[in-house]
Amino acid sequence: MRRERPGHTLQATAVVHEAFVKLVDMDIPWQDRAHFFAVAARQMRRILVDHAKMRFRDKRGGSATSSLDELGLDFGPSTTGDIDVLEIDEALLRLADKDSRLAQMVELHYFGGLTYQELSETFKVSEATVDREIRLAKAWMLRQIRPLRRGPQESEEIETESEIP
Amino acid sequence: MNSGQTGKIADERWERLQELFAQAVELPQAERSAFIARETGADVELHQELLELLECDTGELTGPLTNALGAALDATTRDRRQALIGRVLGNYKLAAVLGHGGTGTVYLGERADRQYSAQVAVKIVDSATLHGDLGMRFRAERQILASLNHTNISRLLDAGETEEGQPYLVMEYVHGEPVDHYCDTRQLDLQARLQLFLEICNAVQYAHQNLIVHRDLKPANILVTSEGVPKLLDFGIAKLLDAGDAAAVLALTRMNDRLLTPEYASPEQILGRTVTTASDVYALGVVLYELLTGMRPYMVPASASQLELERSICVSDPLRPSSMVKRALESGTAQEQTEVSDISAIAQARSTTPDRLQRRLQGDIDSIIMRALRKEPQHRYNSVEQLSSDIRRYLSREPVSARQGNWVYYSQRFIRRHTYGVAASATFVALIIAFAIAMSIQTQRVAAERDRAEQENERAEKVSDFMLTVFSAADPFSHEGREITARELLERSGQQVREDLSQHPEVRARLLESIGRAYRRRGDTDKAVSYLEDAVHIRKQMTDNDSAAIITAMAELAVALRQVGDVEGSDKTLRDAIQRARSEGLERSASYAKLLVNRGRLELDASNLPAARQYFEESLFLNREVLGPRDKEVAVVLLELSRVYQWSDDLQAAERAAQDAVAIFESTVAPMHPDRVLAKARVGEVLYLQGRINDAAPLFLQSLNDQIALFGENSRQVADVRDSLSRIRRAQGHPEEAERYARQALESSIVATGQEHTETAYYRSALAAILTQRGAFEEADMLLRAALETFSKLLPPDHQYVASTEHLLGEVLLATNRLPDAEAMFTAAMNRWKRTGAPEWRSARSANGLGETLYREGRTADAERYLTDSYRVLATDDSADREARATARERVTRFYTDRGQRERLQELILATSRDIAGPLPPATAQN
Repeated sequence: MRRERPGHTLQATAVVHEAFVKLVDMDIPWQDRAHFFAVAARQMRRILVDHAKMRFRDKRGGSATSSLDELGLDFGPSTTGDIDVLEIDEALLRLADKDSRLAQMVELHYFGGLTYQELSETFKVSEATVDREIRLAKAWMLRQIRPLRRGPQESEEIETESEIP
Repeated sequence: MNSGQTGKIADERWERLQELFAQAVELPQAERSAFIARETGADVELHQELLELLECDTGELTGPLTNALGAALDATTRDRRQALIGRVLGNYKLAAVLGHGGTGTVYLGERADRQYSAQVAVKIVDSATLHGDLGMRFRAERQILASLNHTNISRLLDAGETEEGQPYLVMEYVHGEPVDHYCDTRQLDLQARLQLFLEICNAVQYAHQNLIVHRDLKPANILVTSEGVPKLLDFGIAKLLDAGDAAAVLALTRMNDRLLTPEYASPEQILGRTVTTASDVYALGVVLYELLTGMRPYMVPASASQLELERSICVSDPLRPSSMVKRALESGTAQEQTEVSDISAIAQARSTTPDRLQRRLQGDIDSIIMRALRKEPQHRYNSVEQLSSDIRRYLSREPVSARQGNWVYYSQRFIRRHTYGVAASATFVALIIAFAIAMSIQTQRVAAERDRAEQENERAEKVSDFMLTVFSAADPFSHEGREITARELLERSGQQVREDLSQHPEVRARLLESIGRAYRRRGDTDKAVSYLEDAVHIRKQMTDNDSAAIITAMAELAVALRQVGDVEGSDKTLRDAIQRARSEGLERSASYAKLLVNRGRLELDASNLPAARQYFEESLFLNREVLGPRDKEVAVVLLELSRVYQWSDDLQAAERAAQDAVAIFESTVAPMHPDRVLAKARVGEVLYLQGRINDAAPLFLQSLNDQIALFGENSRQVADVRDSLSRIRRAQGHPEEAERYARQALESSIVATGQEHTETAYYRSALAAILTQRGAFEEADMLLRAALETFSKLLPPDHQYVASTEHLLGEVLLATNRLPDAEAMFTAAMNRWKRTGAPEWRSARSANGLGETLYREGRTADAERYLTDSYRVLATDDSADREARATARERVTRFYTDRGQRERLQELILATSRDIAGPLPPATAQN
């Protein structure tokens, strides 16, 4: 079995902690762990997306809040192929429209940090199935994102309104 | 039907795509395109899509998506941190980031007034939202911490909260290096290390004498200055931040690929149990183990799962220090986790050889450390002093106390270990702890409303201790490995509280309240009522009864009673509570405001808008005054007011109230907070009613996704959003989708509330409205009659729902040409609408149906009167439903056209035309 590793073993505790504490603060009657992590992952996603939107606004508004150092770090050439979290969010929304279960699996994996093994327990399928499904989901989402990038300049801005099926 | 069919085809296609993709990726690159061409045949689209998907498939595990998310996490974290540089906190200005850990970020601070140059370390605690009583506890405890005055303890100089409400601590800035590093670089031998360790013990002991537990001792928190003076950092900080912090950290690690390894945490901390001075003894044992052997007691490879980690720390016994060295010697390397990679280097850093090191550790040192590392707190050294005395005895070659009794201890443990076995999964434990924290925080929040800080904390702790005992002592093994459900936990704890009468009544009442509340939130309202009734009963009987607490409990009970459908009981409880509050002079409190909101809700349920509005406005005013204009409670009331405005057709005010609520929630609660999610849906609802359908749609779609995550498919909340989406789709001209959402709403409601519930009946009539539009009269008829049946049992006769359903049934009867029945139904609806005090156009709409019925019955004179009168109202009332207005216009036009009286029509239209877009179209609706 291939072993997947989230690539972000970085100093993100502050954000995760924020998500967690807020989660605990929500007064929700947790039904089970799947429920807990589903909401946790969604929460994490919202935090990152909100932050990205804010930055996007700042950047466009020419706000002087960013230091040179930061600009170099965040907007300079990088190995990420410049995909940002807003695009992922958008692609995930579209995936949810197509296959909500798979979208949830992806959300739990990427934003909730669940491993394939845990996903297999949560969704009651084999790890091989999880692996296969997430692999497809990744390709599918990338395919959604790429035309946006390859396309003409005007598609740079991401539509925030989700389309209605 | 049709939409179901297309949906099915789409599903099949998606499945086929998945299948082919999975097969294709298993093939060598060269064979793929042939395979796809063969399998997709004539389906060009599928062929193309698969090719593109394969092009996007990297086959690697960490691809662009992972990297992008990592970058986003990074950027978010960095921004939050960076945003604070330059900020002045108290007397200090933040100059740079020194480092970050599990609980916060440490900044270098400088005196802001530059009176003298002093550098300090400022620790800002992560997480902006802290629970109600934390600030209070924080202030109380920092006084105690500030009183710690010891050369080996970094002093707490100041503490406070940032503007965003994050607590911060200002500490003496220590120039030094972590103790393990310090010892290694200077090649200190065992003797010197033990001497240094004794100094550390002294500092810990001093703190213990002042009743302060460190809770987070580890080399990183023990710095040694260049003069060789050890300084302990972060004393008692863990406690200050959160009693359940270790547990939170544990659960956190689950979410973030284990950024933190609780390797110095004692078993009781891992399990979220009570932390005492013995926990520090344990941590000191780990530190000493590491200082002497260069390795940590537990072999936890970097790739180990959380489960393995916990199994190590809470169940299996560590190797003795000497055995650890021996094993390292035999295998040639030390554990991979230590920086120093081989055992001879470790020995060299201790100015010795591996053999000699092993021999020195064997015996006394082994015993001392193993005693400190015992699982059960009561079996460790009773105090740090005992630990240091033993070390002193060792150094002076006297017999050490630890050697007595170790054998018996470990053989007993062996037996116990094998009878238990361990199957609890890490996530299980983490989740249980998360429940427990949530529970105890909920309980503590009640405490925040009162100001008897000391006593309160003690009680809150008792309560949360209890929760923890129930939760963590819940034997997972009896459940054959499956997860224990929240329900089982609740039932178990409920039973325990009811049977255990030895607790203080205050504690019991509070437990009953939090269990009752938990049941209510789960929708188990019958059980909630029974627990809350017990709680109120106990509170009323207490000799030193606390009126505010009684009132709060009664408010909870009233909410549960209302939800269970006992309107009368709820009303009575609220009146009683309001009475009590007034006689005790508590009219200016947040709890009184809560009573008012709930009275308002009852009035709203009873369709009594003016009274509801008055209660809500009063409550809003009070909350703003007592809690401040941007408090969460203010937003909660604003949402209720928005509903009232909406029902009174004041959509501008309804929107304003809902938007204000959203703004408050955005700055006070998490993105996924149920109230925040709800508030957004409320805005959507109002936008929809204003006709801004395309603005409303995305709000509802997002809300639907979030509500499903929060409450599950079959919940009242999800039913509500689906109902809204159904109306939106209908307005957008997608009747099939509208019908699908309406059916789903009804199904969810039936599961969530039952067949016989006002809400279920409401969704029946909503579905019927769509079916009527789609011509499915038979099913609509059935649904509407069922709804009326339910309403007649549960609602007052002149309720808007009843009137609305009667009107819809009238339309069905009219459409199916059952004219006398239609006449009766429209008449009933019309008169009922008049009695509800709803805006006039609603009764006009029914009058319009009546007019049409009369016309078809051939009673033209009566028909004309009803048709024209109702048209006048519908045409001139801005708030009137547009569909109803269009229908009325169509009917009156046909009436006059059929009768060849176009000039009378002209007259009527002219008289009402100021509200109409254009002049009368020449020949509308001739047929």
